[in-house]
Amino acid sequence: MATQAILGLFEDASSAADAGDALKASGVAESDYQFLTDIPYPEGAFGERMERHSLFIWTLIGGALGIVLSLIVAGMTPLAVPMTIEPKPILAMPPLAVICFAGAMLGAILFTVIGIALSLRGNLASPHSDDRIAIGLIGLLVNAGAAQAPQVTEILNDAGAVDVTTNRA
Amino acid sequence: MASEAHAQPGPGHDHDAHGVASPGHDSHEHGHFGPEMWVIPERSELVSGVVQRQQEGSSLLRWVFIVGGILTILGIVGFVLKLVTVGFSDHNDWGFYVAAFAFVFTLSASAPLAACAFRFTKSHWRRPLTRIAEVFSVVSIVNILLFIPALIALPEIGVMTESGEEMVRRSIWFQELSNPSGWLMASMIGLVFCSLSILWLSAMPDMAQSRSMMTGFRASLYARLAGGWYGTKRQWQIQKGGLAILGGLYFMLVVFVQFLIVSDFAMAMIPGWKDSILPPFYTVISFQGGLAAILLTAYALRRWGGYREYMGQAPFWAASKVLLGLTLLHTYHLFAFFITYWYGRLEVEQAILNYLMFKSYIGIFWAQLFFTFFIPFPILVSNHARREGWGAPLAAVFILIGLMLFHIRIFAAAFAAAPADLHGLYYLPSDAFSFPALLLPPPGATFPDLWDIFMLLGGVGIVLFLLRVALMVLPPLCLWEMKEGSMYQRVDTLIRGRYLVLAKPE
Repeated sequence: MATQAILGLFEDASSAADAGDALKASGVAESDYQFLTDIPYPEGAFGERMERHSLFIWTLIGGALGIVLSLIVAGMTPLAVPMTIEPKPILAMPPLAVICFAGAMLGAILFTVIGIALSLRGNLASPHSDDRIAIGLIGLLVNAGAAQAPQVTEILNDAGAVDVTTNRA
Repeated sequence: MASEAHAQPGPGHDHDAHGVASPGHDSHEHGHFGPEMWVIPERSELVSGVVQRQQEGSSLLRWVFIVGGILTILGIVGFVLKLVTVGFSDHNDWGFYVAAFAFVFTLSASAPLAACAFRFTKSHWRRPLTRIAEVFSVVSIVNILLFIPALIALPEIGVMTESGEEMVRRSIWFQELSNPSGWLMASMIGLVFCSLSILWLSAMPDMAQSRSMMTGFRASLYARLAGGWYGTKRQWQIQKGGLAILGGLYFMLVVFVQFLIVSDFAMAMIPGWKDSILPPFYTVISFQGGLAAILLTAYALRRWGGYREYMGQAPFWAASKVLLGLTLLHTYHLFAFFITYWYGRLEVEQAILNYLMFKSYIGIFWAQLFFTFFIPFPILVSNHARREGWGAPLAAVFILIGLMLFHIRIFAAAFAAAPADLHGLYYLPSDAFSFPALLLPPPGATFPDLWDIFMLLGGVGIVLFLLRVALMVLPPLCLWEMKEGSMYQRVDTLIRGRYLVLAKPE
């Protein structure tokens, strides 16, 4: 079934929150609508569902891989090309720690950025936006089927939307 | 809703919930807090207003571009002629180049940290300063290029003598690697990558919101870098989480790279210099210089760049206290370095004190002390100078001059201290625990030649030039943070006074 991205624009946050409540009450799934804002609003400001992310897992994986890789490289080097300075050991931890720290940091940064890039995209099923959001209007983007569209548009208008636009997927 | 006791314009001031503070009111109505202390910009006009100013530019920014460009060209000329005349065979010739590189690195690597640190503390006054701090990431790209000749000039850790015996020099890497350039460069690239990632993530909402007002190169760049940004709840959460994680990683990495730079390019180059205070000292002076550069840039944009109505005096007032703290910390570390060696009284310690402070480089040492402490300290202590907004930027000018002198005194002096031969920088592994006596008596100061002066000026020029380029490409204010601040603050009446009321949702 064809879906439509219906965007309602609201001048104030309370009206947008009311529209969200009305959509929920009418049976629209919470995963089918999203608030689009020009600034980060506090958690729960629109009565929306909690969003969780697991970005830190990317950081931990990257850091662990970085440590393992740098341990292998920096540990193999003095064993392959030993230089004896008595009584220091061939494989010494202090310089190894310096290299492991660098490896862990580089791995963690690289994987975090990859995680961010992947998490930021593919967020919307039917992307649709409006330049007026940049000047403070709040967008309520609803992903609705063809049968639901008139009802959704009516809910948005009743809640006080200043404009409602549609984008067919 | 929590309130902070920042007294605001007195009764009768026309500063409403989202209104811009109007300058020109009688100061006696506002107590000792002027009407420009806090500025709360109009949220709906912020994006278009800042984009318009960014596109118009200003004579100040044009001059920064021209002067920065000329100095950068001078620096390139100086580098090329130095390379042609002396080559890389003797590291002693490259001390001033390394000083210029370290100066650029210090400023450009430390400044973005201010954005992360003040964001962690959730301070409201930071909002007009964060983007200025972040755009120094663009300047830091040049660190990778400048680092290559510095690494080439750095003597090998281990080399063969003519008799076939291997001699080594002291470094933090000791017997692990014959050449740590790969790890040093990897760390530098990682640092630059991290700071650019922070800038990208922070600027993404601003680029998305202003892309429809842009044309040409900027429109194309914004579409590429922020094409997928819609401002959903999840995107804001990823952005917040990403900035927190990358900010934490950047903090850990920048201190580490500063440790590598000062250990490998300064301490290891003076035989016998073993100092646990130098890396934290270098970190503190870097933070001091980074914050000074941010405040000076912000003040110039406010005073001459057309951004007065978006930037109040509060950021300068608040940041000047941090700058005062860093100035005192810097001086404390300098004294700790001195007193440890003075009390220790080993021959090599006395020699290093004489070389870096009291004989060879005595002039530059005292000049640096005046510029980094004796002149800025009274300015920053003065509540009047801090509150009026000009105190911290004025102190910043002196601090930046002092920072350049510090780099000459430490890096140029270190590279000129010892020749790269046995009983100079190098020793035989069997003599590992004998004290080097090279600095007895300490060698005289090395003065820059014309090409060295060109390269030092080029260091200043490249910072100015790239900063201007970055401000040409990106909005100089973090628009979403400014708008967020505008939502959370308003001026309200309490008893008979009018105060800034701040909402703190977390």
